[in-house]
Amino acid sequence: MRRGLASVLFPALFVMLVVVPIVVGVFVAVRYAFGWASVTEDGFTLAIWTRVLLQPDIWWSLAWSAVMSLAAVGASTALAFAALITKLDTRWVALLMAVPGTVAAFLVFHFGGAWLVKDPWGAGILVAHVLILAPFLTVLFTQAAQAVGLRALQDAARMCGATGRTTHRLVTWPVLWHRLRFHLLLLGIAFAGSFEIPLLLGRSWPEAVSVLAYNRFSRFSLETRPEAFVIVLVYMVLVGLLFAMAWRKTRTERA
Amino acid sequence: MIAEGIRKAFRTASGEEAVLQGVSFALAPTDHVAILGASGSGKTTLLRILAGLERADAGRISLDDDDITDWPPERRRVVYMPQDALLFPHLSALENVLFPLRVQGISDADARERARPLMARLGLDAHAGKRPDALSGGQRQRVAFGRAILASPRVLLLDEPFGALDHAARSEMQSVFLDVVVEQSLATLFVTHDPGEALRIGTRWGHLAAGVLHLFHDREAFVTADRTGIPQERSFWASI
Amino acid sequence: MKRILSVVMALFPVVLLMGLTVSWVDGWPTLARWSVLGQSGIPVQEGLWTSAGVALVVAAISTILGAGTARAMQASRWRSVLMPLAWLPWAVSPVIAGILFMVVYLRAGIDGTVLSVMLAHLVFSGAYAVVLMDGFWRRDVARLEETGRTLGASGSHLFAHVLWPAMRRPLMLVFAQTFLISWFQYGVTLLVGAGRVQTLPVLVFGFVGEANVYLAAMASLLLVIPPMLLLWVTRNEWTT
Repeated sequence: MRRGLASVLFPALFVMLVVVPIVVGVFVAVRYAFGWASVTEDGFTLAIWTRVLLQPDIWWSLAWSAVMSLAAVGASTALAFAALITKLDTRWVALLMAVPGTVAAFLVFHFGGAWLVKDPWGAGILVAHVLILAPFLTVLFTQAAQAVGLRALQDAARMCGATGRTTHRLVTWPVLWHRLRFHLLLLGIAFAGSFEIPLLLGRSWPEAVSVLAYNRFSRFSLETRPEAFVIVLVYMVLVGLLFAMAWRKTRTERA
Repeated sequence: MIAEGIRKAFRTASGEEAVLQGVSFALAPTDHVAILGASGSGKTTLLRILAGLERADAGRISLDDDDITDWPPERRRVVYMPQDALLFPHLSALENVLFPLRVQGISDADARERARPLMARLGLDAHAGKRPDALSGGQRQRVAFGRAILASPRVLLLDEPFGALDHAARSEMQSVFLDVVVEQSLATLFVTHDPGEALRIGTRWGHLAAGVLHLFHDREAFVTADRTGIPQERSFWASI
Repeated sequence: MKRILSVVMALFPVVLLMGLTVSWVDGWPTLARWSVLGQSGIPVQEGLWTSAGVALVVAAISTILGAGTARAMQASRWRSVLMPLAWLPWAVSPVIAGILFMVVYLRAGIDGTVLSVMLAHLVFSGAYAVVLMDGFWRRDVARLEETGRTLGASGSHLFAHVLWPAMRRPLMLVFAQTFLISWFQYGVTLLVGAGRVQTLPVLVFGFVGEANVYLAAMASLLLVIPPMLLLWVTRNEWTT
């Protein structure tokens, strides 16, 4: 296939298969959220928005999801960093990437007891999230360390008189953070949208934002379905803003 | 610095390969020893052992009457500068230079005040705020050099640090280096594969080949020794 | 010690799950419960084939799409638009995306089908493949292609002797990773599959809801072990 045709065909396919579904979905969501497609509303209305935004549910859900995500990424980052500096065998740790959220949720659900299932602090949710995220971050940190030549930089620090601990504080962690902060933010965003773990292990209130949206969508009520779309749109706007900020700020690291 | 009987071998697929075979030398406080050696002669391994980044299989290293053979790098105050400047990518040029002062616990304000004159001396004033990836090769080497100086080394080990620079930048760097090390009264051990650089930088000379170090008693002996390749090069230029 | 700790950490989920599927006969553990897999009416087998089939198709399409799009983007003026779009699905929760897709698929009449599940998975896998292949292309493959072309290679010759050997390893990695993305998907499958497409993750949740611990553990093991084997076989690509 001539390069000319392929250089148009593949991007077109990418747009069709990846971008268009999201764009069309957002279009439909907007129609529902503003009453154009709703069975219970009569044309354009902001009633659904005021109904949703004036309830505390969505704000508590967003806050809860953000806290859940920060805790998971923070704890997993600490564990992955510890694994890197203690030189754990990454080939074995990487195998834990085969454990998905579904299985992590099930394991914590079955073995966690009252401490970790539907507990008020979300400890079970945290444990399950760390189970799937820490191994992935360990591999990511190891790859990043290799890519930047971290060992040589650590040697350079030691020759300037830095002890092991000082080296990790002034060089190891800042170098990794500098290189991976965009990835960590993306992971934070991804885990804020976590579904199966809070679905199984979370309490009925506050719900994670994805669980809230799913429950509103899945109820056999024509009133709550448009509310689900409002929640989806609010979530996407917030995530989109964070993503755009991070994209601009980390242009050089992604080059 | 005194090195006695340094030996090092590496295990390879075909057995053990001796990289250093009983290397010995003495470095006085203001000596600048230039060691000539081709690739694979053991130069880098020798410097890394002296800096404490690798362990020798046998031998002893002492510095100012201290036996530092088993000392970790952060304790030795022997700074090793490789060809790759190895600047910290998350720090600016100025922050890289004053890094050793931060390690010593000196306050940010004091550290910047101490680093500024050296930055000016090295022609880095205008580049102080730039990250390493925005600096040229020559600028990166100057930053690495400034960082090494502020680590207050007793000995500075340089592993072809100007090898990646073009002729003009290299010449300039050699001048800056000479001025600063003389000013700071630093002992240096400098390895290179360029005889001209060795002659320009050094006050004493050696040749490392197949893990064996041969030291010359004076400059004349160095330039007339066949093993260095200098006589052959002189003949070549003379014939043009 | 570190090796033992790493191995224990890696295998403990599998050991725990295995323990849940074990039955005890006369004080001895047996795998008698696994015989249900061969019985009709037990959806675990069907779930396994559905998951495998969907993941294989999605991975194959994603890999080709990723490779072709990444190459096309290298010199494209649309790169600054396409690249952020390729990253965007990462930031959208699969369930949120599932809600968006569900209504569209309902209108298109494909809701609750394997096709709808594949199309939904492709959004995430395809985007991920583009991001990954772009990285590989820019780092490794682009310069090789340029070198090949300056040496006179073009068309099928360039592809067969330069691009394909350079891309084989990245393609394998991308295939493995996009396979896992699809294999593990739960939220979006639950929604667009409308409960009719029973992949292994959907079954695990179903069995948990029915308090059927044995089948949930079995389905979990079938979900985890193939990727573990895949990760082990490709471990040199992940680790130092």
